[in-house]
Amino acid sequence: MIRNILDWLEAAAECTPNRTAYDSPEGKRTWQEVLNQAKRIGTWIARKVSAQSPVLILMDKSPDCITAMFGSVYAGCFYTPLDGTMPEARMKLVVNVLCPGLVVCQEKYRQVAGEVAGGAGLCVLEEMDGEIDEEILIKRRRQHIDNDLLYVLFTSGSTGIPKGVSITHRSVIDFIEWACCALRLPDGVRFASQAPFYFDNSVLDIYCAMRMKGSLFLVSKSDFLFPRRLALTLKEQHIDTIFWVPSALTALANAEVLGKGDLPELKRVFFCGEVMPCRTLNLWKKVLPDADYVNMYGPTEITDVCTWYRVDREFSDTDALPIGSPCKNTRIYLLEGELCVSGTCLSPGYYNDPEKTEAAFIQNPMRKQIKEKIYKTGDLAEYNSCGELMFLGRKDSQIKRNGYRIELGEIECLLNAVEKVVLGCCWYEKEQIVAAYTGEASEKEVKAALKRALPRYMLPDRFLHRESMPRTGSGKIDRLALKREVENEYSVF
Amino acid sequence: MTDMEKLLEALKEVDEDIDFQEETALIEDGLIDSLRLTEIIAVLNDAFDVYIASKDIEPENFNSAQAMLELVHRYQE
Repeated sequence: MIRNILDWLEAAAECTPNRTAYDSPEGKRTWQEVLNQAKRIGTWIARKVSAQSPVLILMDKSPDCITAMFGSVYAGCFYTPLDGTMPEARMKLVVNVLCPGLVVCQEKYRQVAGEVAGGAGLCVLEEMDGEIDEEILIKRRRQHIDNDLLYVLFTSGSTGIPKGVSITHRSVIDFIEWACCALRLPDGVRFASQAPFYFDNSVLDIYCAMRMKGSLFLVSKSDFLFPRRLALTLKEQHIDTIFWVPSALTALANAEVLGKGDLPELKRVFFCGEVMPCRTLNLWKKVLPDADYVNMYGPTEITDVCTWYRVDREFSDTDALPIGSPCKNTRIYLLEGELCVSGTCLSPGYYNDPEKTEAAFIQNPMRKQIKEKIYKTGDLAEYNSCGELMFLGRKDSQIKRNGYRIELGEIECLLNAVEKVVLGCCWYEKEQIVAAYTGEASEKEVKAALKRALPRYMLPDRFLHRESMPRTGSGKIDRLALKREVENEYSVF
Repeated sequence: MTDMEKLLEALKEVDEDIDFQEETALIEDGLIDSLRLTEIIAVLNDAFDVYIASKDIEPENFNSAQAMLELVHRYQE
């Protein structure tokens, strides 16, 4: 039983040193190169900060970004990859929560990294010296236990402040060992990566490739805009496995660029992050009738995936696809319809936020005799007649867009903070985020203010200026009445 | 108003922070994400009454305002 994800890296570098590990259109690194580079970065970090320090990584999605993550781990630290194009205001919120010991960035992000780093040290990768100090790395490794954190990933928080989900080595080891076995991944598997590294679907990509001594091709973001290009990339790169959000699979399937028998090397199509429409699944099955299709479900707080369903029968376009059954070593409870999870996969909590941790990670009511946590997902589910779990929706106002998890409350908080906005309210309708507000602010001003505070995927699609907001008896915004008002006014179009 | 002026006016609605007049590598430089691309296609449809087929959704047709306009003109012929 291994205790550190670096054991997999060292095994890959020893058995298959010259195999490609992580590559992109800009270049590739073999397992030996990844190992050496990670040790160099690890040495450099270990000389600057103590073990278990948070390391914030501000880099484009690249093989170098992955080696910087592993470098942090060699130094006994944990990493948080951040999107370099995120608005600075939101980066600062993340830094306030994380209090990183060190910010690692590439040259192009030097300025923004310097501005958000606060008291943390700043390291520009291009300036790193190339030395490996085995002694300091071995020392850090001896101190390590598998309960130490591996990463903290930030997700939208309903009170306006992003939440940092912390995950340990133990959870990732448990998850990856399950995934490689259940998903029947072959030695030398070749993945094509869609998920950004700040999104937890990337955990399966990065570590399954490592565990199977395979490789992960980092597809250019722009390929996902151009289906023809994307199909060509999958073919030219000899991709045999993909783990993508359903919206990416839907976009490619709907573009009508794939015919039956195209992509003969693609054997495994896995998906997670949002509801998979059966219509999309059926389009894919027409192209690849013999591929292995697996639907997975899980929030970041339980290490990517907690239930899975291998497609084993036909579905009509309008059916709902099951999310299936719990992964090995994971238990699912339905408490008043809410899906709750227990097991090694559980995050120890939101970083630096005991209150939110208390609210979501509760004592297991079925095991009162001992302290045992379960995670309340906020997702509603039920069992179908085959005994499979079916996803029904959300308990609260969290939504998913292109697989991104968005708290409407976070947008509302920021909307209410905009100058000259008196009261704001957001909802999701027909795949659009609608923001209604009262006050003197013009639509242009509101839009500009939100743009400075929110990532692009969280920006409302429509802004509605209102003279007043309908209220409920208790004085809250009457959301149903507001939606009805808006519907009546705009239905003429 | 020339077609180019009309296009730039419409693109301003998509994102006024992008300099559509000057940029020539909108795709390669990552200035356009999938939401924006969808909006641009909708804008071309609204402003010029052309429906862009999926075979024309290629990077070279969206790297600059000039390229987008040439695409529109091909449809109008």
